[in-house]
Amino acid sequence: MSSIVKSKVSAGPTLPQTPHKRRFKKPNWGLWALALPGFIFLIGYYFVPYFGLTIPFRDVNYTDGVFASPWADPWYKNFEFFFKSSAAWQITRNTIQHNLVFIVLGTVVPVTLALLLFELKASSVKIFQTCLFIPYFVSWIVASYIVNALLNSELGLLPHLLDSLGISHPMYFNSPKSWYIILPLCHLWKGMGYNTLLYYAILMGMDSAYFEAAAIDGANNWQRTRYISIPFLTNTIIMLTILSIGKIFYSDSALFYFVPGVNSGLLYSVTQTIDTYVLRALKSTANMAMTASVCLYQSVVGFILVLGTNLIVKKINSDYALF
Amino acid sequence: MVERHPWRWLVYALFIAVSLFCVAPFFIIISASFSDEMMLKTNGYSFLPQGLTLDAYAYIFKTPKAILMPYAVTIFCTVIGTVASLVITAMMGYVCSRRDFKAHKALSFLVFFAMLFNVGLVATYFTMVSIYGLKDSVWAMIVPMLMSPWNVFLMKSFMNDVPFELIEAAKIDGSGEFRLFFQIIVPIAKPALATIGLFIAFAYWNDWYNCFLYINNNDLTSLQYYLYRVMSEAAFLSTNTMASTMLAARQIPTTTVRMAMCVLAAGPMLVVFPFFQKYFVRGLTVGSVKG
Repeated sequence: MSSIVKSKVSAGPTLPQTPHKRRFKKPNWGLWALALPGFIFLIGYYFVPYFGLTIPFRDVNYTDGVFASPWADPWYKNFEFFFKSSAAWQITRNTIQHNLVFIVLGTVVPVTLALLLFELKASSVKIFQTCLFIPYFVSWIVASYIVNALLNSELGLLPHLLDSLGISHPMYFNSPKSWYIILPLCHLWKGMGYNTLLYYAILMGMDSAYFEAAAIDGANNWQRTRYISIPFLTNTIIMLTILSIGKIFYSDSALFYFVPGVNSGLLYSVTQTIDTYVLRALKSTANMAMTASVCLYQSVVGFILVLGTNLIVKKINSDYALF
Repeated sequence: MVERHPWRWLVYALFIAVSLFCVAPFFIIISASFSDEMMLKTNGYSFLPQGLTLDAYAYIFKTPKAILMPYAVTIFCTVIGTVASLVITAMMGYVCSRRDFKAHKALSFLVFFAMLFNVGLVATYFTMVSIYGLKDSVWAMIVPMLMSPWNVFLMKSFMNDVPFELIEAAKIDGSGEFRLFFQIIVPIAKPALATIGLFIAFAYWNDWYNCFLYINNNDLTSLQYYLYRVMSEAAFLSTNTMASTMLAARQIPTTTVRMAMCVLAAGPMLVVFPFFQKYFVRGLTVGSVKG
């Protein structure tokens, strides 16, 4: 609240004396100079690549360079090539499907943990927080070492354990199906602490008067959680979910690229997403124009999704809207 | 006011289980790095070291250059990148937050649009490589992360809390914009700078993406990408370390050396970052409420 009040004050009229007012109206070269490095970077790194948006409409050859190759004929040739390939449906489906699972798991588990942690009110909360947060600090490459040590069919911990117990198990790095479970678990492992702490921080910011009132009315633990804590989190949950849906066309490339193994062609049917498809194509210098058309497809659909979800957010609660 | 939960111990048990789920996997890597190669090869990975030896580390430190080079590259990129990025981001965020500045809306929109519409990897890649010629240059690992639009917005929302009266007063006293920014705003915004600086340093330290895209020169490999190469290239250890010429190939404790590399590369920061946990939390609560 206080920041809102403050910003209203600062947005108000400046001092009434005219000489100072005049000075504020001149183009402020000092501020322009401060913004200059950032401005140059913005144009150079984010807007110059807009010329690259023409790449998918070209017949790329390396003698002319990607930016000056002749136009493709017909103009949609590269798109047609991509959308007629089996990869188009596969990578789109994988990206969306995994993201949906991530959104559900990445909300339900952290919210539950945060509520429990909040109820616990013990000194040990800090230790649990730190333990849960540690995986957040390692890269997916380190995580891929761990997954390999756990699931590797020759030396892996889990296969060895299951063997000794006489339980049959798949060869994890050869069976695409098991990655429907492994990938969400990896994602949960790495992101759980962050989200739990986020929800926990919100709960800690709650006015304790609600709880005192509830205690006087004789509410039990469950009722307190159900009628006070959960409604308090609902807004954030809805907003974060909608925002994640806005990003559903993008995947965490490191997770999908490194954890199942970089050249694990056997698993592509489950682990290949739009981002990893582009990465692999770029590394193999395959048909660049076609790869660029995949990028453009991702950019355009991603852009529409962000705009659409933002529109919905704005309707529900404009405080959370991005714009 | 809080009565003891009847199921309190169940909740404790759950949290201990979840904490183990998060932390235990690290012990597999650590214990493997202290294990004896032969025993590991027969028994598989375990939570406790098998045979407790320092062979793997001894092997690595025989030719420490292999791991020190990526460390040097990553430290260089992190230090230069974080300083440059923090200055650029802070200045941009500050200018965007100045409501009396006519162009502040236009500038914010530009930053915002950069975040909203992602041109895609191919376009960015060819701009970097063909237009700027940044293939195989250290700068290719620094430039792409110089100013993340998201950080600018975070900085802007922090800077919005600086009382405008302060800026006005300084201007009336005749201070120029540069002096105002560096002598008045920066000291006030120190907590914000620390939080965002930490985010930036974290991003540079864990960066593999730009190294993966733009670097082919093995001397310029960043730490994370180096780890990937250690893992993926079967012949990596035997071709990249001088010691291999002195040792027969079968004597190289491949698996444990890989794990030791992983510990050496990821370990130090894994100890350091959790100390800054509260800054991460502060950044994430601000960021999630309003960009």
